[in-house]
Amino acid sequence: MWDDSDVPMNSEPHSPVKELLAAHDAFVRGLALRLAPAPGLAEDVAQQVFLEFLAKEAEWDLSRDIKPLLAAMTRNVARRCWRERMHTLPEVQRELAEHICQLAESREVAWAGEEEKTILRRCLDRLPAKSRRLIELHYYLETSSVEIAQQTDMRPDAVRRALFRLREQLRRCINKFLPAKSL
Amino acid sequence: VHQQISAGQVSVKNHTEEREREALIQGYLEGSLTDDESIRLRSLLQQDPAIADLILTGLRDDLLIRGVVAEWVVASAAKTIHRVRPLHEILERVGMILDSLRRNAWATPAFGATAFAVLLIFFWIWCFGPTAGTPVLAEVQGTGIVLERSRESLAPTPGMSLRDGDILRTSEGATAVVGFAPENTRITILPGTEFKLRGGSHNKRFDLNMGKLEASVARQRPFRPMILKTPHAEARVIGTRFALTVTTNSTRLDVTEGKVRFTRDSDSKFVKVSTGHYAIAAADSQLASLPFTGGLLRMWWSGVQGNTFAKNPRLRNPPDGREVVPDFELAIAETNAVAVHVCGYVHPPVTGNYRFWLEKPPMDFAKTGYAQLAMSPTEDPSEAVTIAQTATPGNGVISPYQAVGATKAPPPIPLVAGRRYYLQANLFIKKGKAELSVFWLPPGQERRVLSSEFLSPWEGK
Repeated sequence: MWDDSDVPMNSEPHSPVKELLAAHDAFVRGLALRLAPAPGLAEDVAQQVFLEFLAKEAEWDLSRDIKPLLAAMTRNVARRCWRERMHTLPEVQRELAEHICQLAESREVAWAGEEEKTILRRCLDRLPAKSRRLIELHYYLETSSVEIAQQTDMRPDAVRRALFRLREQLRRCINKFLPAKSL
Repeated sequence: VHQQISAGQVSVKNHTEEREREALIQGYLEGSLTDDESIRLRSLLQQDPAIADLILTGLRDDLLIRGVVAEWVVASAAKTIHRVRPLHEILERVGMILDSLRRNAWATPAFGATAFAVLLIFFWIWCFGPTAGTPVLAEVQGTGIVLERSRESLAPTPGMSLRDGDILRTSEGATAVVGFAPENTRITILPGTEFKLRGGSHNKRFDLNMGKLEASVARQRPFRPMILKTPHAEARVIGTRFALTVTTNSTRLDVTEGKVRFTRDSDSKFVKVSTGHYAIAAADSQLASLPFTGGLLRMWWSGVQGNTFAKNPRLRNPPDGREVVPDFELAIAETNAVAVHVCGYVHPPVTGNYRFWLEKPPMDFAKTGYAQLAMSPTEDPSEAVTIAQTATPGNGVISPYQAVGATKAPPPIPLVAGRRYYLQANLFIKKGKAELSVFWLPPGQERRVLSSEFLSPWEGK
């Protein structure tokens, strides 16, 4: 297992290793998402891969392409994290997650770059007040749709659909402003 | 209309499925699916694996939003109220917004306008819709009419109001007309009829126990149809013209305008009988809406060589003439090389065995012409088979089914009342004059010419 003490937390922010990792950030996160398509898990996997990579920085030959190495590490970490996550789920939900995982493995996921984040901020600013509040509640305050439904006397499905459509709306907005080459 | 309804149903179903899919995907993305919902989403994924793309996109976009949301919330709060709203305030505002959304959906101007229009239409129908009159004996013709009220016989006079339970009896040569002023509804009770009112002054419900009536019914109020009951059936009328005839064994409905729902009492089966159609309710009859009887279609070609219809090139062309003839008794003027094709449907009045004859060709017909009668066991012409024919010129063979002028009775053909059967006769005249008649023998009746009341013209081209 990975140990906190091994991580060079005091690495310089613009060290060559970190720049290299930043260049492969989208690749690792996209792969992690395909291999571990569960809520929040891809982010955990990507972080773990970067930490493990940095922990063994001295072992890598950085003059060569590190993509295959990162891919292998991502696969290992994703497999491990996925297994751990599956142990926590009831059987029915585990079967669903495994089914989604099988389908996701063969699909392509383009990961968001910094440009996409900048556009997303603009899109968020353009949202009407009620949608902004929903974003705050769900993504900032981590309130689930079931909890929102209980607090607002609505059906959970209605809140879920509102969140689903809000995300779709943001995606359309991002695609509208994103240069064609990035799509 | 069926197609539109089907398209609407499909659209509603698709919309419902889409809403369900959205809710389930969102539930997965936030990890709040129940076991049942997980099973359902898995089932949808098996049906449509493309849902996995939506899930992956959602996971990615959720991470993207989470990556910027903290910074964005702080920045936007600083721009507006310079502080982060407390959770309960945010929840309260969200609740208010969602409530407002729900309320506004019902209070949109479009909804208000639609509701107002519906109310207006309802009000208009209520105020200006068809009026409901009360039954009055409008006309009396002849002396043999009796009005029975509370077991007493009254002398009917025009203008007399009729009550629930009144029975009108008309004997031979007498006719009565029941009106419903101010509405334009009239029921003419023909001779030999027993007619009873049984619906009160506001409901048009009558019994026709025997005889015949002809009715012209104005459009009735919604949910208040005129209902006529006979010993065999019930006719439900909204607004139309029709005749209803009751005999000992059957009830016949003839609709000349509009549509009447006709229900047989014995099994509650019903047909909708529309303009130009009739139906019979009887124990041994099939309940069906059939076109009015009255004649046959006759077509003819001149300058015809040969004597068969199937192989004759001349007969592939449109006929030289076509007309509807009243019955199966045709006299062809003296002519040469003519082919005549008569076709239509026979409507048997009762179920039983029928016999058919070809009659009245010239004595030397075998030398000068050829006639053939064919009938189908259904109304499909392609199933027709020959049931009687003359000797074909040249070989002198007489059909085993029926020969012209034969003394031996033709074989019986079972027919069902309430159905119609395709019937056709072909006649070739090489030279001279010819006649063509078809006789039939219905069960329990005299042998006679097949007349127009049991025939209807072929409906094809």
